[in-house]
Amino acid sequence: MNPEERRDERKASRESGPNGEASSMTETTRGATDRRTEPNADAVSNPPESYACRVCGRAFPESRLLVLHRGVRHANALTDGEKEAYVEAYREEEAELHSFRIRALAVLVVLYFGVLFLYIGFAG
Amino acid sequence: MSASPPSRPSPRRLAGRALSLCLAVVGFLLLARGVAASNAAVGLGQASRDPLSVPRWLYVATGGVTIGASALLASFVTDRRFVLSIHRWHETLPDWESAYRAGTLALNALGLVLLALVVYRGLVGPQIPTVNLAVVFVFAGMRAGLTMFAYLVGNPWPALNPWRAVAERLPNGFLDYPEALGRWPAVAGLLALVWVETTTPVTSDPSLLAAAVGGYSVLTVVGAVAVGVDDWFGNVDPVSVFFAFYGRAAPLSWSDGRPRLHLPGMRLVGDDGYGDDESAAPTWGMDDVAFAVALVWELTYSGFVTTAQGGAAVRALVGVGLPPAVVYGGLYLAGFAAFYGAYALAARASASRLRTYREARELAVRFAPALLAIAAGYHLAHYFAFFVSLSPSLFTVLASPLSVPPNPLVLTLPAWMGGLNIAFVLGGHLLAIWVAHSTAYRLFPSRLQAIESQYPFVFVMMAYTAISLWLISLPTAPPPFLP
Repeated sequence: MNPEERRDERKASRESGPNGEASSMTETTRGATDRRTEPNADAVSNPPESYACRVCGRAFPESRLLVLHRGVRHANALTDGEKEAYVEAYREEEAELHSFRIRALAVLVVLYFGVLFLYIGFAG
Repeated sequence: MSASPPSRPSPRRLAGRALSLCLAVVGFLLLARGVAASNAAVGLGQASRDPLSVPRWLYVATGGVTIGASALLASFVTDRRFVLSIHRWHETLPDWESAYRAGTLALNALGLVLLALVVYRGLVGPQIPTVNLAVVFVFAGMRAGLTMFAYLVGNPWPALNPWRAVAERLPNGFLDYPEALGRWPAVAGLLALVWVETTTPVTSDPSLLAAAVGGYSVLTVVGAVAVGVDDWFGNVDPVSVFFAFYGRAAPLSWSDGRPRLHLPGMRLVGDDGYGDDESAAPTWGMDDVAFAVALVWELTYSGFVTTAQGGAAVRALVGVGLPPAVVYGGLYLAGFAAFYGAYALAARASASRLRTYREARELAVRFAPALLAIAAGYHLAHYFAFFVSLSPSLFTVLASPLSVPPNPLVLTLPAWMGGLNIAFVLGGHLLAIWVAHSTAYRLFPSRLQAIESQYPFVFVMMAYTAISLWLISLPTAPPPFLP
């Protein structure tokens, strides 16, 4: 589940328009105007492995990224199926992040003791 | 849509956040203690009974590791809402519309009076740099003091700018500014101004400085009248672009005549697409990236040539038979190209490592504002002590601009001020790390991608930190072969 991000989106949409649908429209327009057209050009040039967002047109090389993008950027325009896919992708990513945090912690420990031993060895 | 978000973070999340914050603080303090110790050692380098002398390479490496470790610690913060709330937070202060108008007019007048004083006192005042209003005001007042104000508080230059005040009141905009040039003229202008500052005696010869300021004024007003005020001061005039870029790091900004307060540096994170603040995130190009890199580079360069080692390098190259001007110019441009190239390479590495359709150019442009935080940290490290020690002179010459100060006062600073420089350099980099982190979360839907996209930029920042910490640890000497 990803309550924070959905709240974000809601907050954003409250700021951009009085009601959900209109604001997701506004968001789309803004998204379309400030984005470059290259991603779409790419989407046309390599159709087999690109997934374009139906709301804003931005293309992604993996369907998983598109699912995450929809959840983060267009939470107000999700169908039930898309929402489920997003929750699933978010959970998977949470597991990957968990293993990333352990690796990052290991690097920090190595860095800390590495610097400590360097100081013991060279400062004096 | 109907997910049911909890109205506030769950205790578990709060505990997790508190834990990561503690980790961050403890980790940073541990590393910072190492740096502080090494700084004391560098400061006391010659003392033989110094109990803890740290080799310079270790001190430099510790700085780099501090930045890398901070980036790793920042990557523990994966809560999008938290990241967003940090850079979105703002207070709109009460509407002071009439005060704003009056203040702008007063600052316009003040700017014109100061410009006239700089030129007049530079030409007829005492030709001694430490008591002449022109030199003291331009370098201690503008180059150091006003620039600090621009990134620590808010950018007052658009109101103070005397050339703009004049050009605005004249008919202007007779030619179309060629859009293709972008902000490249300002990049070239900044490099040229810093070049003049380093290699000509404008810092010691008041009448030369007055002539240079006068010439610059004529050029600026003519240019602004020709292509229009907004195009000239937004794209060509290096001084205005300089203050505007530093001003983006400041907490205070004006939007629609109302002051708005952000957290320091958080206006550097552009808001793309939705949001309340689209106008605050102008679309940047590679010219803006080059300008941001130039801000970082000019401070590094002026730091380098004023060290004993930098002077020795210049002497060695001149000894080979090259003219000094070529050596200084070559080092200056080659260093800028190296800094710019390293940054562009980082953007390319970031784009090619990720499964994304975002291009290297887009990443370079989006992450570039983080460089402004680094530049602000360097600027503070280079100019804070200078500004404090010259501030009595500055106030004396401003208090009685038309008379010669009888007894110019220059403060001697305590030795611990040197430690502040390290804190400023590291502080700017840590802010840049957070800006990059926040930017990455705006760009990538996958949080892992957001983390991985920062690695190449973090490596470049580590290199910049190491170079800068190395430079401020070296003994200073006047640069050789310069008048």
